[in-house]
Amino acid sequence: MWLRQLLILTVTLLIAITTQNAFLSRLGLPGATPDLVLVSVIAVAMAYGASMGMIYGFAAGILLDFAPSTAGVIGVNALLFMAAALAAARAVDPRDRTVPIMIALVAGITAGVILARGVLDSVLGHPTVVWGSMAELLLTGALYSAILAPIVVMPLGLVVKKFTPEVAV
Amino acid sequence: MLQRRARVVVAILVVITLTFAILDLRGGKGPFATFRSVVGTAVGSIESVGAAIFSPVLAVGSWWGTWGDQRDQIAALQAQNKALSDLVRRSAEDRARADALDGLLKVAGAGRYRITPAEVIAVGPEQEFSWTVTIDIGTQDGIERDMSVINADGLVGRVSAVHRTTSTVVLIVDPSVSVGARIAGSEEVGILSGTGDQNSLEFQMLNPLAKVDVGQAIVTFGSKNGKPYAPGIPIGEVTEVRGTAGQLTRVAAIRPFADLTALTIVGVVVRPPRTDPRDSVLPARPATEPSATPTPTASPSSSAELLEATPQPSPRAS
Repeated sequence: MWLRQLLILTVTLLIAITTQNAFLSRLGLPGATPDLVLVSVIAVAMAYGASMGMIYGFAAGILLDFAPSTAGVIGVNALLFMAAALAAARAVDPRDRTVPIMIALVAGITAGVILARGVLDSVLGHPTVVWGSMAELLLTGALYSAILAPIVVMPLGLVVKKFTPEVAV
Repeated sequence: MLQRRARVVVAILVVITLTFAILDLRGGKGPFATFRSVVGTAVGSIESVGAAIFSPVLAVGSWWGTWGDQRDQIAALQAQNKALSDLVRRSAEDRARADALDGLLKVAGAGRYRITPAEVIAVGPEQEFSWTVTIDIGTQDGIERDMSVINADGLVGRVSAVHRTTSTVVLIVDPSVSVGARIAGSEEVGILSGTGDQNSLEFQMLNPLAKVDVGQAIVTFGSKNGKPYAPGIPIGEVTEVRGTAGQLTRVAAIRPFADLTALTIVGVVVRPPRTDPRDSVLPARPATEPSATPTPTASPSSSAELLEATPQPSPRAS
């Protein structure tokens, strides 16, 4: 049981990080880079609930912080992903979570994370935040997450329900 | 809210995160340098595998990206190529036109004709049995009916209808056309008429005893006020004489100087010369060509035919 859950989460995390860093970030899309890892955090939180979502978010954030090609303060992503997981699991009751609401939730959380990351980075003395492009980043980031949401959240929900029905929300 | 155990877990995680952040913010290499390099190596190797997997997909992306550029480039190069080949073709055309105009000017200068150059823009359909062409000048260029039309080689025809910007020229090969003509170097006159054949005209001499020789040139006799034909314009040369001297009608076949199947630049004689230029417009003839020599001794067969008046039937008598 635990093993299966661990396997699902590890595979999801590896696929998400690899795809994001090796593929999505190199597509050269305008505005923000599609944040597949964040969407996967939200998907896990929606499938397994808040606490498992936060653990997954912590792992994903720490890994992203340590992984190459991210140069932020270690821990910022972990903290943000934990908050995102909490919000995703708790904002809307799972019984009321229709597909449009789910997509809107993913987009809104993405925008919030981008904004909070900018605030945190500048508070922690990181000078690379460009506030001039924040509106564009928020808009495109939310849009890309909205596009990724049905592709990630729904298959992951099905996989979780099929292989680990006991702990699924 | 969360269960007690979960709350503890989350709190521990937050504490760890904050610890990491604070330690990282202290700067320097810190305690994470090793950890970071280990994780970086691990994630980096995963990412390089991912890059290898995704590189064909990305290559497709870049292919799509450059495709438009290449298409634009191809279009630009094609346009350039077309413009350049147009230029090359047109320069050859321009040279031909310049040569034709040069020849026309020479003829006009020799005969003191005042001409207006024109370009043939249309040729009448052959199935209508009227040999006409359309030129690109008309009343607004001072063209009137019955003016002579020449090119660098000789007479082409006369203007049969004038419009504002175009005119119709009926060629001398048209069967309905008759031109008063004179054998160059003599006073013998006759009537030249078209046969419908582009390379042959019929010259009917008024004097049945006239001396005519193969190779002799024919020029226009000229009409009153130069209409429809200005005097002295070269028409063609005799290629064959039918019938014998003394017969009621003697007919010579004339090959026109002007190539009437390939007309491009022509000139309309808008004012004929004050005096008949006589034979001065005729091109200088090469003396090496035996059939072109008008002396009676040069060609025994034809001179015999002409002078002795033997009642031999012409091989092509019809």
